Order: sequence, then C-alpha cells, then structure tokens
Amino acid sequence: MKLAEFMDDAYQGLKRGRRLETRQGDTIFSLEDLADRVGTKPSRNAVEELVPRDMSTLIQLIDSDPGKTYQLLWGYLSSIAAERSPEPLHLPARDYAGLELSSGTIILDEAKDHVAKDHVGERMKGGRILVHIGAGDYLGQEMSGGGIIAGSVGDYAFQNMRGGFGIVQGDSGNSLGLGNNGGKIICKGNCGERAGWLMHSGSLRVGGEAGDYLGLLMSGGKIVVAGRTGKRAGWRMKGGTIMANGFGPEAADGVLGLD
Amino acid sequence: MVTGHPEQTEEKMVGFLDPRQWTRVSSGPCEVLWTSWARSKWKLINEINRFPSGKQNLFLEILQKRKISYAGQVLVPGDTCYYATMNPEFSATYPLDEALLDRISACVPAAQPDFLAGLALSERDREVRDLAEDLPHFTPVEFNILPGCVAVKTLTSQAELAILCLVRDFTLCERAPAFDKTQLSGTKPSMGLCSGCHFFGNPEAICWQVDEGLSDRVRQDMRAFTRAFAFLLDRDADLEVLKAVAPYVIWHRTNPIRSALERPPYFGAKKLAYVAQLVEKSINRTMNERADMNLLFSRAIEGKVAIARALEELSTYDDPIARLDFIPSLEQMR
Repeated sequence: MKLAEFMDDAYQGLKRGRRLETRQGDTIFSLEDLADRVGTKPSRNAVEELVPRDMSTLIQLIDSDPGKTYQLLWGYLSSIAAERSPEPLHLPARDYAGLELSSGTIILDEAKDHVAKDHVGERMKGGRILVHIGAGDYLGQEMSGGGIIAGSVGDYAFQNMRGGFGIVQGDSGNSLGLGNNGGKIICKGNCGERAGWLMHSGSLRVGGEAGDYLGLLMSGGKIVVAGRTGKRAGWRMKGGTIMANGFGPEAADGVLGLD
Repeated sequence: MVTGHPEQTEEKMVGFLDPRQWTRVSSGPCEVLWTSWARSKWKLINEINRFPSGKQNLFLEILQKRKISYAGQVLVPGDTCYYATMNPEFSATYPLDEALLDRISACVPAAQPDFLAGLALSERDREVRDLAEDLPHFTPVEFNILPGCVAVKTLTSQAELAILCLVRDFTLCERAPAFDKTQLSGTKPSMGLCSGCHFFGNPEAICWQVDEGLSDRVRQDMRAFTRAFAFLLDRDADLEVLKAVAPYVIWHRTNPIRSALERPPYFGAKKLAYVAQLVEKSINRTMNERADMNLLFSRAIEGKVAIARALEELSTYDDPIARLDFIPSLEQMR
C-alpha cells in the first residue's frame, strides 16, 4: 500500500484535526516543579507561560519559601500575582520581590528574620512597591517605571534607573542612584558616599546630608542636598547640576549653593 | 527454571561438558550435556534481578541470537517463550541492564491477591498447583497452530499509524544526535538536556518526559502483542487493543523524569499509569490532531503536493514529528 493510501485509510471518516497547540492545561504544583520546567534563572515570559491561571494556586506558590534557589522564580510570581490582584498585595519581604513588576501594588511586610531584603523591585516597569520597613541593597535596580517607597535602603539603591520614582523615608546607604539615566529619587534622610555616581540624567534630592564624592563623575541630571555634602562633591563631574546647603572640602568648581 | 543469585553459573544453567568423553578412545567434537532449561521451549528465569550485571549478559546473547552456545557447541531450541520474574529493588538485587530490558517484550506487574482472592485462597481445599491443573490449556497441536492464527490477524491502518507515531513520540529529541534519543549517552532529559527547549514543559509533547527513546523492537512487540490480543479477544487489532497493550510493552523500557512522575496522581510510584497516559496522549493526538500534517506529508512524498509547499505548511506545525521527522525527510528529497 502506498503511503498516501495508508494515511487516507487511517484517517478515513475521522474529523480533521485542529492545529497543535503547546503549553496548555499543565498545572504547576510547587516552585521546584516550576524550576524543573524553566530552570532557576528563567525569563519572565517563560514563567508567565506556565504560571497557574487561578489566583488561589498562584498564592499557594507565593506562600512557599523559595530559599536562595528559587528566589528569582518567586520574584516573578510575586509580580504576576500583584498584576492580577485588584487590591494591593501583602507579601512577606523577600529577595527579588516585585521583579519586573509592570502594574499593581505590592506591600512588603517585615520579614520573619527581620533582615532587610535585597533586589526588591528590580527591573520594574510600573506599579507601586511599598516597603514598610527598610529595604536591603539594590532596591529598584534598573527600574524603568513605577514607584517604590521604602523606610530606608542599603547600598546601590536605584542603580541604573531609567524611569519611575523612588522615595526613601529614612537614610540611604552608599552609591544611591549609581549610573542613573532618568527617574526621580528622593531620600528624606541622609545618604552615604558616592550618591549620584556616574549619573547621566534624572534627579536626586536628599533631605539630610550627603556623604563624600557626591555626584562623582556625573555627566547630567540634577542633585539637590538640603544639608551639607561630604568632601569632594562633584569630583571630576562632566555635566549636570549639584546644589547643596553647604559643601565639604575639595568640592568641584561648578557646584552651587542652595541660596 | 533457573533462579538468579550471584553464584549462578553458565554451567548450571545451560549445560556442561560431558566428563565421560575424556575416557573414550574415539575422538570427536566436544559433547555438551545441555540442561533441561536450555532444551525447553518454555524458559523461566526466576528473580532475574538477582543476577549480577555481568551474568545478565548471558541472557542478552540467548535472546538476541535465539540459540545457546557453550564450548563451541550450539543448541537451537526453536521458538521459545521466555518468562522472567523479579521483585522490586531490594538490597540484594542488581539493576537490570537497559539492553536486556529492551529485549523483554512485555512486563506485567503482579500484585498481591485482593480481599476476595485472599478469601478464596484461604478457603481452598487443594493446593494452588493442583488447582492450576484444572485451568484450561492448549493441547500441543492447538499450541503449535497459535502463531498461524495470530499471523492472519492484521492491524488496522489506524493502529499501524498510531504505533509508528507512538515510537517516534518517545524517540525524537531536538538535541540528540540525528534527533534520536536512543543515541544519547551521559546526558538525558532528567539531567537537564531539555532545559530551555521549545518542547520542554509542554504536556502534549512526550519527548522531554522520558529519558529513553524506543528501539524498533518496541514497534515489533507492539504489533505482535496487539495482534495476539486481538486474536485472544476475537476482535479487530484496532486502537483500543493497542491502547491496552502498549503501556505494558513500553513502561519497563523507559524512565519518566522524576519531576513529572512525582506529581499527583502518580506520586513517583505509578510508573505504569504514567506511561499509559503518555500512550493515550500520543494515540489521541495522532488520531485527532495529526491528520492534516500526516496527509500532507504522505502526499508530498508521493509527489502529489509540491515539496516546497509541504515544507512551508509543515513548518507551521508545532509537533516534534513534523519538525524533526517530516521536514528533514522532505528537505533531503528536495
């Protein structure tokens, strides 16, 4: 029998099929299960394709402890859950909470271990994140939209920010707004050393005092400090504006007083 | 019957040199005293997984060559039925070699008697062996004509097609040499081979869900057992018979990936049920969803459809068989 005849015979009287579709109807039961399919360092799209459609299963996944292994997966899931939730989503503070968030609101409560968590709101594009207590390092790193409000932050907060806003109600660590290309940062307390380092554009406003090397090598944007700066403010700056109520020793020539 | 244990030897199982020949004056070829197991057409290998790996190779040769050789002498017992029994993995058992498993046509789990069967056993007035005598059995003549009876049973076209697609569903792998999972060594789906693959995580695709591909022996065994059961049940050798038979032909030869097998309702324990649902999925897909692409391919092969057009059409099917089997075949013809 020829191949075409064989096929005709096999499919005789059967309804012609639909096109084959992929990735439908599968259920994810745990973070480990999800990691088996997409790995532990996936893209958001890969996670989103497999994430459970019903909210209760999604919340169950978020309630599980990701440990260090599955923290990226948990971060994506927290964002997807917040985007789907009509109300602000309360979550325990964990590393990578709100990773690539695009809409919705996340409210982070204090972690069980009382340790501030890192990478919160990384690469977020929209929505809001409210950190009741202090955030750890790398808060809002590479964010391009949305806004983050935190009690205090560690080092490298809002690094390489391209848009959106960040408000720190207390003090901030070193290298606040490093390499910024846009967006607005307000730190109501004091900030550590090298705030606005390599800043290209955007604005940084500090309510208290700033550490040494404020605006180091900056080429654009605006930094305003309500208090005094440390030494060498505007060191080797190529552009942009630094304004402060007072400057420490060896401040650059182009810096301005607030009055 | 031979029973597996580490001290079992080829001499005890197959045969040994006749010591009387050394005292005879006349010289001639070595004489081997074959054991009754070697000469029998019904061979039972008890506790096969208690044979160490090296000794399992003996069965590999017997099953492959269908003859037994010892000391330069060859015994051809003719068509022989082999049965093997084994317990689950215990501390004194050895893992079975994959090549040996592939030569075992079908594997059936033997569960303990259920409540009613237990009751019947406890109330029996005769030994089980005596009761077994009452079971209907074939006369030698009837037994000998069985292969002929099965041979006249032909598979339906649907069953033939489903078997072909089933084997390819298990075997094709985008990342394996020649897209053939049986060629893999060292790496496999459970060791991260499929991470990031387009088909990985897709419940409709079978390739990433099992570590091993299926050899052509599986195709032959599925055809043979489907026809045999169709004869036994006095019905057509169709898809329903294939669906019932295929899991028992496949499940012992493959290992589903842990993360898939451990999910409910399988809980890491119901391997046969997991393989059965893969079989069902493949057959249903072939019958319900692959009609267009299979017909298109067959027409392109016979020149009724332009190969370029068929390639263009087939490239829109998100199916391992279309992508890894049909398209390369047509590209070679172009």
